[in-house]
Amino acid sequence: MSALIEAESVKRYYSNTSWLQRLLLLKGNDIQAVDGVTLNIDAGEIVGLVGESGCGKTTLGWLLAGLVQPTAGAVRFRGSSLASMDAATRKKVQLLFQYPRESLNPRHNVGTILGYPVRKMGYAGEAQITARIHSLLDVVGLPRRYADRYSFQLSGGELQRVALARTLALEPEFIVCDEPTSAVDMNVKVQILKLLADISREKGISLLFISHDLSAVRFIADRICVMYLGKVVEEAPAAQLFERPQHPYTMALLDAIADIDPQATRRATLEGQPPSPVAPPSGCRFHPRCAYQEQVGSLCKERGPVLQPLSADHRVRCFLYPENGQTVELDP
Amino acid sequence: MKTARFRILWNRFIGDKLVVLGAVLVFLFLVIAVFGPQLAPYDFAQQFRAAAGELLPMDVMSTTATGERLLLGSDALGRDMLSRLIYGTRTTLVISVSSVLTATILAIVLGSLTGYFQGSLFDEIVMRLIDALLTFPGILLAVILVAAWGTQGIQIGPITTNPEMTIVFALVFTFTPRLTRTMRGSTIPQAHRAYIKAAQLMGMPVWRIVALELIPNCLTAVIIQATTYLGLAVFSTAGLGFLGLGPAEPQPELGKILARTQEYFLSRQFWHIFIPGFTISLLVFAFSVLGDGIRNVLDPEYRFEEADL
Repeated sequence: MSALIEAESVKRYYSNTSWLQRLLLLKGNDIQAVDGVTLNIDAGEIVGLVGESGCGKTTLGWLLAGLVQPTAGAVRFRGSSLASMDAATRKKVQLLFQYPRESLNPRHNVGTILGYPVRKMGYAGEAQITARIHSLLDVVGLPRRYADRYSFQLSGGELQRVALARTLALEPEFIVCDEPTSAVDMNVKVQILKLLADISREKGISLLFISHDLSAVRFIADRICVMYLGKVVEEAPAAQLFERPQHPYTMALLDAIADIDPQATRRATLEGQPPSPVAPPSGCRFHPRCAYQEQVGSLCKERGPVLQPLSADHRVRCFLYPENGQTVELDP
Repeated sequence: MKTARFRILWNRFIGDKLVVLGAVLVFLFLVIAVFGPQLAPYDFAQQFRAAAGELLPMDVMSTTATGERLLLGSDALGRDMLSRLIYGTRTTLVISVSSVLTATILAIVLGSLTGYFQGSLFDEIVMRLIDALLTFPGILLAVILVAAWGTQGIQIGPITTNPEMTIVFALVFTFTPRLTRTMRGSTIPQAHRAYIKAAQLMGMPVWRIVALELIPNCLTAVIIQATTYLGLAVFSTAGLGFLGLGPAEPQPELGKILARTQEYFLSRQFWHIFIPGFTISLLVFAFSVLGDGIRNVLDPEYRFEEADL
């Protein structure tokens, strides 16, 4: 079965060459925001994407939503390329932005903001349009009188609901959620997550849920991808990833969740800042910060590991695992 | 909500007495300009004589040989100063307001498009043309253009424009580059905001994104600059007239009237110079003060907080 949306070894580099360098025919260092990611998302599936700030999560999300074009590789929706898609199909892929206040025009009230996509979907006549706007507000759990409000009169959570309603107005099949809960309070966050999960299940909409909040991802996602410096390092079903993380980076991320028990064993501690994506480390990109690098040896510095399947649904990019040509006994 | 917002801005506007004075003066000047033909006692081209054959400027409240009383006397050609002043104000105001208005509309269109398509070939071409125009300091470009086009009106195909249009075109060329830069500058940060990206994702056509999403959020700076340019436009129009580049005779214009009066500076009628001089100063003052008031209302630094509502 073919996936709803497929990313095939997509790369996105941002040019870092100044006009002076270009004049002198020099090449600056490109920022390798996303460096060869392959990801398939099935219809109705919720995929979580986690990683540190600057690891390329948002760029990957924008690539899948078609907001930026890949430098190399291809993004396909229902088997055809996003770039060459007609407008009607193109609308089926939408994006929910990180900061809802930014994503809503401050000059328009909620009714106007929702009115455009509603009209675009073929609703005509005041009564029909108003009815559709009201039903959208019902779906996202906002009172109907909010149609007359402006963005500065609404709270962060209410704004994100309006942004979601605008997205749903286009009846999408795939929504990229770019850290939709990072700008709202804890209790509102839970409400938004529940809302997203419910809507996804009811309408069969696939979601790519981007976040650095592991608890949020665990709550909502069926499958989780862990990204480090432009590459996916581990991919597994949500429960499995949390119970049996395989990649040292994933272990470190999970350890970073505040633990109540001070005696809890620390498998790997993450130190320092992520390296610059302009000049990524040689070999495995994680090796300068990896707790297991000593055990594997110089291989990590010399060669980059590939993403290998450990089981049917678990893939990992590390030399710790035999598929990568090296067997290392893990310390208990 | 709208009315509350309006009331706050209105209170801020009328709170400054100087601004109110400016607004009242601008209103009076507009009345004079609109009802000029009804207000002026005589035709601006009609020549009067002090006595038989004599064409010298006449003093305040002087009576002509044919019995007309001229409130502010006459100019060197015996034409009624008050009537010329009223018609001259009309000419100057029409030229300066229409040039600033045209330049602002052009700047909004060019600035928003270049800002939205920042870095494109269209942006590069328009901005390099604008840079070229910006190399002329201040009013010099307008002087060159009017000198080149002449003061008789420009011939565009079968149409010959009226002489005032020459000056309007010249001033539009002077003001548009600066206003466009301002508009482009305020468009660029808005064009990168998420609500524009959301509109693109919804498949909104470019004209609609620019006209309905982008422009309404980028107008503040350009409107502030345009209002300060109103005073500058009056000054430039009068300056061109003073240099002999105003509309052709017998059309009166404040700068032209001023130029004619300077011949009498060392004579008994030296006070003539103050009549157009004071009018120009008052007009520029009124526009500057009103511009300040409008800036206070619109400037983002002074913008009302959400708590104000």
